[in-house]
Amino acid sequence: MKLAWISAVIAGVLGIFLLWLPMSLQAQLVLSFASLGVMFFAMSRPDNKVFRLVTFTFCAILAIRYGFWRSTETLPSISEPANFIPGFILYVAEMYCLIMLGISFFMLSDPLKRKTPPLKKIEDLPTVDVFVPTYNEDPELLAGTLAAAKSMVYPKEKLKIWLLDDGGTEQKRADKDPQKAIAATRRHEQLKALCEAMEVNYLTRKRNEHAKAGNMNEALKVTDGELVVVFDADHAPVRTFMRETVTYFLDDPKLFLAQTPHFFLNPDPLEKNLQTFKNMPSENEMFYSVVQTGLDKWDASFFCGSGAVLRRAALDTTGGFAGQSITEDCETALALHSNGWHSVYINKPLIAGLQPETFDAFIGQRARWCQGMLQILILNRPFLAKGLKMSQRLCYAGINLFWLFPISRLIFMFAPLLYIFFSLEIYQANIQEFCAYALTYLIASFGMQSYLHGKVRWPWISELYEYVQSVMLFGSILSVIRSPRKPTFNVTAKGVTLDNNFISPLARPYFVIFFLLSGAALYSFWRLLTEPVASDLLLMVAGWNAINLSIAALALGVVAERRELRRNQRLPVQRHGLMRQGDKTWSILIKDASSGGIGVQFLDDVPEIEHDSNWQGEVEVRRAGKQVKFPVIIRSGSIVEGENHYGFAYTVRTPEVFMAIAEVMYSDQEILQERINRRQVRQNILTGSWVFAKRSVTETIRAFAYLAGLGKIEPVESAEDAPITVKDNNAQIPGKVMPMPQTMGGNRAEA
Amino acid sequence: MQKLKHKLLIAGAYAAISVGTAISPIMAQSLFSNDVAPIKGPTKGIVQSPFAKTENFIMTTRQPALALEDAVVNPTLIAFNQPRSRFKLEGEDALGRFTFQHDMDKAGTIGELVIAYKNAVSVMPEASSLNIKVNGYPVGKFPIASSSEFSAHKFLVPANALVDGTNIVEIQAIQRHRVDCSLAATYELWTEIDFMNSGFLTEDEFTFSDLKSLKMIGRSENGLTDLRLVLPKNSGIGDLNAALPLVQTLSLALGRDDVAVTVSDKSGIGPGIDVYLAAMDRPDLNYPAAANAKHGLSVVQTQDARRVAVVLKAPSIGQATAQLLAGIRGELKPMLDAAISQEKHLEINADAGGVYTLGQAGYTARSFSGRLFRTNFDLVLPADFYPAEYATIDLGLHAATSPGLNPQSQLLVRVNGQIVTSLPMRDTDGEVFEDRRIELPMRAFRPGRNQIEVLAEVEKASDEACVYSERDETAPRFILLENTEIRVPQLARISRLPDLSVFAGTAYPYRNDERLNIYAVHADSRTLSAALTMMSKMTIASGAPLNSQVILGRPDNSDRDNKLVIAPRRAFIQSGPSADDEPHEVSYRIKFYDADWLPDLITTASVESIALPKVTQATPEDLLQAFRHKTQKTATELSTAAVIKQKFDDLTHRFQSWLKYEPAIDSAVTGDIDGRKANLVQTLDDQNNSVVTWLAADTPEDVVRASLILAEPDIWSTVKGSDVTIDLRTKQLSAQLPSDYKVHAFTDKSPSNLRRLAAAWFSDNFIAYIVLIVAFFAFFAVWLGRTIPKAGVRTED
Repeated sequence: MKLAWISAVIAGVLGIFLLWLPMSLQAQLVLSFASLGVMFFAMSRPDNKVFRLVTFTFCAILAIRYGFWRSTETLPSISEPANFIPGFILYVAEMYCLIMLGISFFMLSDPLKRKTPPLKKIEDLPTVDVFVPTYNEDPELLAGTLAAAKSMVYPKEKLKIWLLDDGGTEQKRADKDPQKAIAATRRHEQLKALCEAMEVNYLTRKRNEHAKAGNMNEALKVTDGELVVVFDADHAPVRTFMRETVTYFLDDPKLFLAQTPHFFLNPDPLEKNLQTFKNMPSENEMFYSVVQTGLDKWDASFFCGSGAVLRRAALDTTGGFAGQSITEDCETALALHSNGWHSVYINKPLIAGLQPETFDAFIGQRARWCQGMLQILILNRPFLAKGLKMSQRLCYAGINLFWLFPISRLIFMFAPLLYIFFSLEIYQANIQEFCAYALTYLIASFGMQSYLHGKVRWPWISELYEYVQSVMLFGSILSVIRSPRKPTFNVTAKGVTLDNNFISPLARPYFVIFFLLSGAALYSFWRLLTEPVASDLLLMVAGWNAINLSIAALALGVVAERRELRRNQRLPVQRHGLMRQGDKTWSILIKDASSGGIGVQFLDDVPEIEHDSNWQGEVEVRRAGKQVKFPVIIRSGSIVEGENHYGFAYTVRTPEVFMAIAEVMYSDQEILQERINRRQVRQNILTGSWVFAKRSVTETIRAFAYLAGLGKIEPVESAEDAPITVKDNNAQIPGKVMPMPQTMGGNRAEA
Repeated sequence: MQKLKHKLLIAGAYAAISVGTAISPIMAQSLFSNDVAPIKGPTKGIVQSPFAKTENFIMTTRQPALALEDAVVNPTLIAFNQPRSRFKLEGEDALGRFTFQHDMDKAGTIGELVIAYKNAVSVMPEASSLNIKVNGYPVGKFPIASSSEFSAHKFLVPANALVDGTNIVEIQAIQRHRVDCSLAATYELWTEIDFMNSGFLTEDEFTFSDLKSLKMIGRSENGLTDLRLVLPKNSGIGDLNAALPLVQTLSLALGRDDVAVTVSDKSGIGPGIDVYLAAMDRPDLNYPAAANAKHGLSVVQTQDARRVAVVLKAPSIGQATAQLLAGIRGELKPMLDAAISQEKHLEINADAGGVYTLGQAGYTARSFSGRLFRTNFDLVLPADFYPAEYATIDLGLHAATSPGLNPQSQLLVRVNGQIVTSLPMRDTDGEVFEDRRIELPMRAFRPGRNQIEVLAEVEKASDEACVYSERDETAPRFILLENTEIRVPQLARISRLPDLSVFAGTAYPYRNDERLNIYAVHADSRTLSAALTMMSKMTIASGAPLNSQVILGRPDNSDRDNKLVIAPRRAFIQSGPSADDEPHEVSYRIKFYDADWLPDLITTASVESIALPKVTQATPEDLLQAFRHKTQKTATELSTAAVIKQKFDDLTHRFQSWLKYEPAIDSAVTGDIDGRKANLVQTLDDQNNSVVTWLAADTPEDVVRASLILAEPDIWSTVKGSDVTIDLRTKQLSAQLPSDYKVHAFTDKSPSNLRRLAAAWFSDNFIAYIVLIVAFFAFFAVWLGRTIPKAGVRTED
């Protein structure tokens, strides 16, 4: 064994020595081909760990060699500051990418696939407190989450559910602004009533200190469960959540965290506006399906704020949830990892939540993540943190450094312009060198991207996501670098409806950049046509700018917001049930469900439902012989390809109905998994590039149409969802937060 | 004072007459004159060396104009020291730098500079001129207007401009084309200075009377410095060997690199030096020329005023060496010291890594207002330099362009005749380059002497019209500054042979203390002349006398020393030392020819006399490609598929050539040279660990002709490879690179040198490099693949 180690190290050193030799371009080109050949051959066995490391190693050869060549051969002379300064900035951006590539190779060298440990004795299960922190979310959203939490399979006596309301604190209720004070008081009362009706605990505090972390730390003081489960207000768990997570804590007393991925019911603005939600893998899947599994290998998977189980004893050692940064989740994990605690990542979707619907809300969320991660990088310095293993240091440094991507992305977007407009030669290379070093490295990068993330990220989509964020996050980065302690927590708005198409209020810089890059593309084309000795460099730079332009064009589609009328996000469920009206019964298939209603297909007979009628019925589903019923009213009906589809809304939304909704939507984890699997389909680079280019054109046209006011659509009227009934006397609270104070309605109960 | 005034008046009259006679023929000259055909320039946009093109005229110097007769016979015309090849000023702004020796005590304090010249017919006199400076003092300027024959101008050089010793004459030729302002047309612009009839005309009558005055000797018609070893009719090889130290010493002391040695039983005619070794104890060595000479080294003026005799006179032949040593320690010492330590103009000696500015090498910056700026300099690299890609030799460019240039302006750098890189200068608003790094690939260089040429193509849109009245020929377009640097990195040091370039550049491996045996296969004076000329080249290249002797016959295996073999049959090279077909019995008596024959290279050269060699590695693939290129022009009805296939084949061939480090396909490749030829071949004697260099031709006449061609410095400096074939008719060289090198010496074993050597060797054998890398990293990766599952959270199955 030792001999193998020594031999391998010697081989590696000798290999590095050979790479370090300043070889001819011919040798470098042939080496590139050889490395690419070995790399692609090794990719043919993705499940074989040896082949995986061979793939990584030979891609690393190309990357290291590119980095060395870039550092030693391509920088402009320092005596030409006009070339050198932008050239050096571009170089730094590239080196950042190379470092990130190296860290990602380490992180993803052997992703873990965990198997849930078997449960031995129910008596051994620890007591659990479920925290649902809230600030300004709608009651119906909270009711859905609380109902799903209540539905989790776990001994009742060991499970306590807590709604942690930071929107109804004493501080809020005593606000100097009477309207805010009334709204907070109203929220406090309504949520208390909701919790009471749903038989969960309501908790608020005096002051809103340290945002979400402070809220949960207050809860830690009044609760005593051995484990703490955190669900964001919009994150509803599936029934088996506890079964899949808690058992890990029985096996490892030093385990502080079991984190699960976040599955989203609705598209993010990019998916919504580009209409890719049905087919394309979500952005977060790369993180949750690939990165976190890689981090898990090195005991560095970290807390993501929700959908996680934490050990109270561990939290007690660090004084609870960390609150120095605005990403308390990662900071908390860092502190506990530093104290020798372990984490696991369970790569199964066990919660379903919502993403921000609008582009500005999306940017607001990402700005918080970005600033929070950089706060940790600056204030906690994870690479130097005591108590961490080297592998953990690398992982934390990687996930924090990642958030500097806006700087490199913008540099890559604008660098070509310096040559096109000003002939600044900031990258000193000829076409042969570019082919031997850069092009082969790029091919290797694309190959690795497809190899590692092909199932969860289509070609060029990463670049698009990075670009749309970069334009807005650049300022956030500068702000946090200038004042690392300044950023404050802001809650991401979710569950918003959009009545019409419109251009995002943040769209202006995207249009400006698009025009700039278009001008550069035209000018470079003109130069290529008119300059008799068109240089290799101009050709390369023009091509680079064309790719940037394509990204910028598609980004216009992202900021051209499509309307979103759906108030409640549906989840396809495929659940059999019965529809009853009076003494009539129909066999139905519940095709989808949301907190507002269900989509139904009648399997045998179809009732006569008049158009625009108020046809009502009662749906019954069963679980383990137990009936779950809820009343519904017809909202829509259609026949598509011979199949009937009817939309029903709940006539009332009592706690029982919410429990029934949870039963229909979240009883089966496989539904979430199946939806993920369905979208995780690879797209090759050629198809992906073609689709991307095509959509760049169509989305640019759409964005300019919106800009010209051609995107307006007639508003659609729809029936309101039923209010939430929280008392036996039919006392109700609205599903959505109302703008003005409102007294509780309903009939007075007879005493 | 009266005398001076008188001379000034005479000088003024001379100048006026000279200018008048120079201009008048031009006025009547036709562009279609049969005398001189313009050189066809290369295709627009492609810069090629005009040397590489065959020129269809004879640039003779044999018939000077009548007006020059005075100068020709004037015994006090001191020649310039530079070899003949330096006397051609080409391009729009060419600067020739020449030197002459002056002895104020003997030749007076003033004199006249005589410039005889002839120019290309395409040079426009109205816009072209020669500007003359002596030691920085402007002494004259006149229009370039002598396209039909050589004409001379004389300028008085005042006393304050002259120095005792070496004087520097700068001749700047500003030349513009009559009708064409394109880049290509600039190659048609040249002015040739008549090397025989130009020089310094002394104030007083001057005779060669001491060793110092040898530096003033003129050149023969061949343009070479003639050094003739005169031996008695019945002398043997021992007499010749006794004179070798004297010949070597004089070769060195002259400070010239174009010395041609002849061996004869008669004294020479015309400019040159006769060398005599006189011994009192040998009546046959008691020459008439030495009758009045004192013991030791002395100089005797011959009857021919342009020729001088150098006599080493000793009481006995055995004491000749002692007498020579006394001379070396005495009168010759300053000459030898100056010759060995002299820094040549525009030459950078880079024995190790370092930074050198062009200014240090003697380059002088000046604004350039033409279309194609050209300047060149030599870079001398060490003998054990291994050219490969472990680094680049960098040009740190300091230059500027003016506004208004075409955007396709560019700067090109040519190394040893091949363009290796270009720098676009697209900024039409003018551009300043401050230390812009231009990488010159190391593989383009070779051990020994390398020529670097910097060209700047700086055309303007107005050049296309080329209307004389609208031309602005004075506005500067480009300037290359003196602080432009050549940065030589640390070099991989290992001497590899065979390599004729290092042999020619530094006389490696013959310059060390080991004995060098020079074999003359035939004992005739022509073969021996070639042998001594080669020995003289070696001596000058190494900067020190060689420990050598001439041996008659062919080398055999018993000789363990390095060898230089002069063979009058080329077949000897192939047959080797054991061949039994040698037709000539070895004789120890030198055979002198009745006719005092010396080949006249001018009369037999039908093309331009200064030619750089082409490397023609005539592999079958190259020949096939060249054939296809030739036949391609006639195939006008190729199908589209055939055209595509042809393009693809060309591309593939180019790529394969590139992979093999072969230069781009030259359509002129034929693989052979027609007619009379000679070979310079270097082989390794593995048995004796020695190096054998052959100069072989088919006759003694040819072998001496080959030696004279090689004596021309510009040809000598381009010798490379392991086998150079010399076309004796055209002077074209064809060099063949060795199929394999062998390590001859390896002294620097430092880690950094080992690394550079590894890089160099692997670059030449990169399949081995790639196999090793793949093997090492695959092994490492497999180990990683087995180790990582056991690290962190264990995942091994």
